[in-house]
Amino acid sequence: MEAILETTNVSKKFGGLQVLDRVNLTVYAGEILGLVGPNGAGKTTLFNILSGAIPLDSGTVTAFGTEIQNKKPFEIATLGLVRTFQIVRPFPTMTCRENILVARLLSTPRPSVKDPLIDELLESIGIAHLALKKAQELTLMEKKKMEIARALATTPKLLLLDEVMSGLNPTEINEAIELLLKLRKEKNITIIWIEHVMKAIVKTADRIAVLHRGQLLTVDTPSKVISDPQVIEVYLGRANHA
Amino acid sequence: MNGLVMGAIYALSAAGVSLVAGVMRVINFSHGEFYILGAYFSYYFSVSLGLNPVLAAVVAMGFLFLIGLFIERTLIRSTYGQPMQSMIITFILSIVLQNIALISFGPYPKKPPAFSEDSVHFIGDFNYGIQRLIAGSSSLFLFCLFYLFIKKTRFGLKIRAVAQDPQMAEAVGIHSKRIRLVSFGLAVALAGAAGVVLSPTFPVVPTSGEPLTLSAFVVIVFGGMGSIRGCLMGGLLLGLAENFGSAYISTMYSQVFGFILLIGIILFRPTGIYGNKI
Repeated sequence: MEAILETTNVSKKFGGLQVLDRVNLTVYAGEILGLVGPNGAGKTTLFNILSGAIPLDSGTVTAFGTEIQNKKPFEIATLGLVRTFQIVRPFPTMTCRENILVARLLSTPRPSVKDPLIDELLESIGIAHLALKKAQELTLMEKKKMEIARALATTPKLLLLDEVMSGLNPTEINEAIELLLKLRKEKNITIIWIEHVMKAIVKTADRIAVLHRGQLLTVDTPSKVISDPQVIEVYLGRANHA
Repeated sequence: MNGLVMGAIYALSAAGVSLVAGVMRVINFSHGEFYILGAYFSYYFSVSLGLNPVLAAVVAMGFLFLIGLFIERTLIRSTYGQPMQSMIITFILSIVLQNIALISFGPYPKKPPAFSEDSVHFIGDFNYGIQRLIAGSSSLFLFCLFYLFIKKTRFGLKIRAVAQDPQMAEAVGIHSKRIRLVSFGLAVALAGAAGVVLSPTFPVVPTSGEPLTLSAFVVIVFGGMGSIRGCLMGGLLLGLAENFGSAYISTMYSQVFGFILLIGIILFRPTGIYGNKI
């Protein structure tokens, strides 16, 4: 399999706190890689580094064959690595359509307002009826869908999803999982996906990477990861603890 | 009528301040100084170089755009994220520009020739009237142009994206630094435009920028932060308030009426007419 993203010894300190400690992670083209870990494990920090939002202290990040650790966010987005944020961040007073149009500017120099791809995206995500609504008037689920549509509008090769399931009810989670699987199949996108809803990620991901206190504990198939004693210890504490 | 004309001009100058405040989170106290620079440039291009007044106006705006780019690059860029510093810097800049204007253009009022030769043929009060009409309609025209630019073009879309969430805009591949640079240049050119259209009616002295900066802020509070429609409504409201106040109460206090209205708006509708956030 072809490696699409590779981190080598990525480390980051916030003051005296080692947030990421020599993380070596390889992501292969076409897979859905789940990224899990307790609060404060460094998951979002890793995303921030991958997308260029914050600089790393040491190590390298290679995406699509180029080193990107010194590139700016918009340059990385141009390469095809696009992220969503943990808290939904639509452009509030733009309509859904305009929100997506903004992202279209990246891959097409002159997208028209009637760009068919926008309709196609709205349709496939299932928010076509909301196209002319302002983003701030949408429900949480609708906003999340809109954000995924916006990220997809940049025609990414690698998509970083930061807790897209948080705050959704079980029905919505199932809906979202189906959406992700559909996207991978149709658009041939590689996805790294941070998630706290374990059930969702075990069901969807091809491999799961576990971060704990800034260190990469293990990367393996979901079934192996959930039976890994080390992982259980991190999540539930030691079995024989007094 | 007078109120509407003044309103259009107020709206035009406030549009620049609003753009800078919205996109860059910078409160620009030197806006009025760019306005007088616009007036002086158009004066010198048309009187000293003998250019056609309309052409001189366009060249003056182009010049101001470049000056805006230069100032963003040198002074404003380092203050992003620190509103206090940007306020201090633009305040100092305003004083510096005033004094530069004083040294290079002198303390006497300067008045570029009128845009239209036709207006010269009118005499008495009508001469004044036609001039103002031209000033008002060209402000309105420029304002509409600006509105369409922000709402309908791709670049305008990028500007709005950066204004609403710069980090997210970067994440979808927008070069926000460049957007800010151009926005500042544009805002300065808008201030200059206001100076160009207004100066044939109101000759400028080096300190006449200050009241304009103030009124621009009043207009923004009226209309609501970050709303372009609000700028127009706020501008017209201020223009009318000042004029009706002067007409029916006293010309002595023409500016007071605007501020009374301002206090009212802050008390009863603190987000402005169209604003939805502060």
